[in-house]
Amino acid sequence: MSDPHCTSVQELSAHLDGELSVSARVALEAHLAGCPACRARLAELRAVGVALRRRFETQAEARDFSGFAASVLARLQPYRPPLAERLSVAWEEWKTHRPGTVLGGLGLIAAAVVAVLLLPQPPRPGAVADTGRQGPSLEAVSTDEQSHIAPVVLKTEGGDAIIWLVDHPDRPSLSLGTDASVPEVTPPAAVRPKGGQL
Amino acid sequence: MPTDDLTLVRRARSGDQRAFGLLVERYQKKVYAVALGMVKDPEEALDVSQEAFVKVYRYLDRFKGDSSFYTWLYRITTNTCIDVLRRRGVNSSDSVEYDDTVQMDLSEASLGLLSSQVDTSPARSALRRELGEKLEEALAELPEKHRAILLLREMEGMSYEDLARTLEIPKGTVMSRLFHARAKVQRLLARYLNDEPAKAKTPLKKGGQGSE
Repeated sequence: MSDPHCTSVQELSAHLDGELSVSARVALEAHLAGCPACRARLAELRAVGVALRRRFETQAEARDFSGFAASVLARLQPYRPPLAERLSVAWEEWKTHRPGTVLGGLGLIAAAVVAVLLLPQPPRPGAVADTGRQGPSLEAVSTDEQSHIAPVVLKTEGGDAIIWLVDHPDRPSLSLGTDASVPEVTPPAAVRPKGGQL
Repeated sequence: MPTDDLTLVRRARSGDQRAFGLLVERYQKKVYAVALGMVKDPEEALDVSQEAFVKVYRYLDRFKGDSSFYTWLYRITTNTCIDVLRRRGVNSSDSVEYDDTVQMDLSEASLGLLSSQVDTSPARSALRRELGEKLEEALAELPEKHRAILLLREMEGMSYEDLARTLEIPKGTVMSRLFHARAKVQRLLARYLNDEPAKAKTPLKKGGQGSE
């Protein structure tokens, strides 16, 4: 049974949230002081809220979020692996295939590509395994965000540097208008990697 | 001193994905907790949470910065959850009453959670133990909008003003909607308490205080 003089439930709800006007709050608190039933109702509203919060917060705390942000970022660009990964893949290709495939894999445009390859000794078939040399590996990749043609520097363990000048992937090409995903691309004849066969 | 939201948003807008990642990390658990309350299934909640952040990133340009980032984030989160729920089509808000005129008598729905020590009835003890579980069930029976407002208020302690901004409703509606949400939860819990599991699953009938 409810006393007609008791506060409305809606008021209790607003009071719980601290959203009553000053005068309404004062009046309600005066009533609560003398009404155990309303005090109990208010306490119950509060208890349910606390239990609800605890319920979902506990589950959230128990969950492992270590990969969450990365997954979100991965969802942002579904079709384009990051530049570093593309270069790393391209480097693997370089070791075994023609440069054409390598450059194609990067989505580069022919005239904008200059490759300078410095090696301390000419690679021979099988030499990699014999000498125990792994060959240069992708150590660091950096791009100049400002430039239209971006230099990409691959540093190797041996201190060699492989410098690519690439058309910046997110900016349109200056001159050519050819499709960036051209599969077969060869470097200009004037430029040849030094130091041995490919 | 952690970087404030608006600074991170500004950086993220100019392409700084690392800044965006920091924003995600700051809010991931909170967003997940709300999503969990909304869609119930943990894996779906995780997926929805990620989707919400993806939308945040894609619509960063639309965030004007005149309101707080977190109300905007929660708006996207609850809307994404509501979309998921509607696609599911299971809990249609049309089937549950939303009766403004019924004065809810809380005493009937008194749960006795905080009753005196003499009350040792098995049903009440069981309810106290299972309260969290029953709460989830009760929440799942609420219409999405009631669920959303209750979760945001209880989980985030959002003021009525922030709730109004987040849900894009007038402040007066916030007050009445919250009240109705709480009243429904109390009634549903009272049904569980009265040890009628079958009845507890049925939606509240139109025009009544519930079929007892």
